Amino acid sequence: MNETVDIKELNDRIEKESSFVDMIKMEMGKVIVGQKHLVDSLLIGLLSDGHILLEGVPGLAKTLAISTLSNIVDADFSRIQFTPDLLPADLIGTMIYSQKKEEFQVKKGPIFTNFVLADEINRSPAKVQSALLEAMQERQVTIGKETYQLPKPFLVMATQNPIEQEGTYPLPEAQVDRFMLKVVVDYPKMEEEKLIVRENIAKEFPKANTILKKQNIIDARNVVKDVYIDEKIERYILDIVFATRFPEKYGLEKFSGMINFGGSPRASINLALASKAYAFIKRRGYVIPEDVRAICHDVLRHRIGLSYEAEAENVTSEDIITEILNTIEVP
Amino acid sequence: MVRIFNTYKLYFIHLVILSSSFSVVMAQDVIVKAKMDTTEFLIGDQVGLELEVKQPIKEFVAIPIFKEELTKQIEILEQSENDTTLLESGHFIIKKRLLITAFDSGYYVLPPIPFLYYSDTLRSEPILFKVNTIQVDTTQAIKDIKMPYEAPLSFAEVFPWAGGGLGLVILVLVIIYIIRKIRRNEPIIKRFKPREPAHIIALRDLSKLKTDKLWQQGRIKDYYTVLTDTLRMYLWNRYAIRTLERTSEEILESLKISEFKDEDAFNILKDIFYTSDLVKFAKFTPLFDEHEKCMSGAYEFVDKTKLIIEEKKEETEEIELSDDDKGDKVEILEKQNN
Repeated sequence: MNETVDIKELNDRIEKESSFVDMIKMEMGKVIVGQKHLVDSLLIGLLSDGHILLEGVPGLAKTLAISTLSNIVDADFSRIQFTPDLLPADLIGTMIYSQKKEEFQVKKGPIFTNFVLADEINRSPAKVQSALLEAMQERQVTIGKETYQLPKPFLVMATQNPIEQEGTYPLPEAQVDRFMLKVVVDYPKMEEEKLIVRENIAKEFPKANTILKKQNIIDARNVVKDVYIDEKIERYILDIVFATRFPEKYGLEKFSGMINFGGSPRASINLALASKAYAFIKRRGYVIPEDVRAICHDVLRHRIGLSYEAEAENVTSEDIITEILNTIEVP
Repeated sequence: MVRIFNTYKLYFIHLVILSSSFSVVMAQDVIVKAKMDTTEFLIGDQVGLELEVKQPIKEFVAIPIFKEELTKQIEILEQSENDTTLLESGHFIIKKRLLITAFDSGYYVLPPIPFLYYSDTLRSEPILFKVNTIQVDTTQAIKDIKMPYEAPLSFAEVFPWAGGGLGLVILVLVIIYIIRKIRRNEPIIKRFKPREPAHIIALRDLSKLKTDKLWQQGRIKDYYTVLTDTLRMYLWNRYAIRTLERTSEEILESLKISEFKDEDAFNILKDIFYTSDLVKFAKFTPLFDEHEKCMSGAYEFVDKTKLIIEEKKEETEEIELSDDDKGDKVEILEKQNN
């Protein structure tokens, strides 16, 4: 077989650069039992510079997974527990008057770090959640008149409890759209839970080692950007996103009245980026339709606004995405 | 004085009526009776008349069979079958019930009913009865005649008209359809072609792809796209596996789950899909012989997996038949053909 040079080179490069993926998975596996999809999703976010929202009932190792990933990468890490009385200044920082210098000095908040774990993000009201907006999108924070760049890499990994739970505030659409992936964490299998119990009652809880530097992540991100995505795949991605906006054009008339708003252009961008990252994790230099389908639910589930009709019919965004994937022709 | 006489006359008549509503005739331990439910009723009312014969078991008394009327004024509406009861005393009681009515007011006599008793005839006593008319209040103004109430239309009444109307509409549409077809010079009844087998379609498409010479023109990506689309369509037609909305990996998984047993064919398909995915999504340019290999692989896959329907050959038995048997066989064959 005679492959064109750039793809061959890229494949070789990815083969070399992605070797750390297995190491990360191994280290994560020491602490997190099962939850392969969760680990993959965290890696996709890390490699494609996309923020991640994890949703699941308490006790499913959401926070543990994020803190473990932070340990594996030699980077600064802040954990912010979102509570109903949290203020935006508690997050991004504020100006404090220094009597000694007789001037206002900037006191930077915990957001000035590489990895931010926003724990139970929906326990705080919208004004605190919105304080994250600028940081997440622009990678910068404005305090007073000054704008400060956030360190690289900067990644927000948030956990939230299902909205049905007591004392939760739903995230505004603008906020939720800034998360590249929304990963739903499910209960472990029985065999996995047996191992979890054993690990937790043992004398020492396993600990992940630090094996990566910040620069490794930045370098890997550059390689991920080079992963080849064909025009056919781009078209496939656009078809999927457009089907969430105009389902009737894709033979899905039954969803016409059920979708208030479909995926934004940010959905298309994130679908492409996440597909590339997924291909990288699979140590491939090009994206195939399987990659798109693998991350489609995580990228789109929080970007489809359902109408009352859908809620009345018990139709979820998951159902809509599944039906779209089963309807749109694969290139 | 005349008024008093009239009053007594009326009492007398009523007395006669009451006494005559029940009449009995006896002869040699045989009793025949005729009894009306009432001897005074309103014009048009329906009143029961019961005929009864009490007879020893060995005797025979015939209850008459009536036509539509007893007299000109008394009409029979219904008559029951004879009802026979055996008594402990060794007698039969035979009863027959008639439903009678009268449409003229006045006094009437129910004539003696004849019961045939061997050569003799026993007759019940005549019964006098009165048919009353409706009292009209002449002090009130005369009112218009009320029309009879209309019963709602039933389905049975409507159906023939509706069915007829519908039939007429269909007939008109059929005539229009036929006229149009004749004007357009088209056949009136379309003969649908039977669906082609999946492998015939696939082989025709592969042949077309071959003659189109896409890879020879440098359109390698198009060549592999058409090649995989042909195979995906073939799999959909052949195995009813949804292939167009599935990735190569998913299609192969579906085949594994289904009854697909041919490992060689599976590997051929896997190789074609793998190469095609590389061409379509990874800028891969195979060597020229790789194109031919994929094409011949596609032909081989279709050939290995095509559905062959074996035609049933009718077994003909050559048996010498007699002339009668031959005739029977001809009849049987004619019935089968019909």
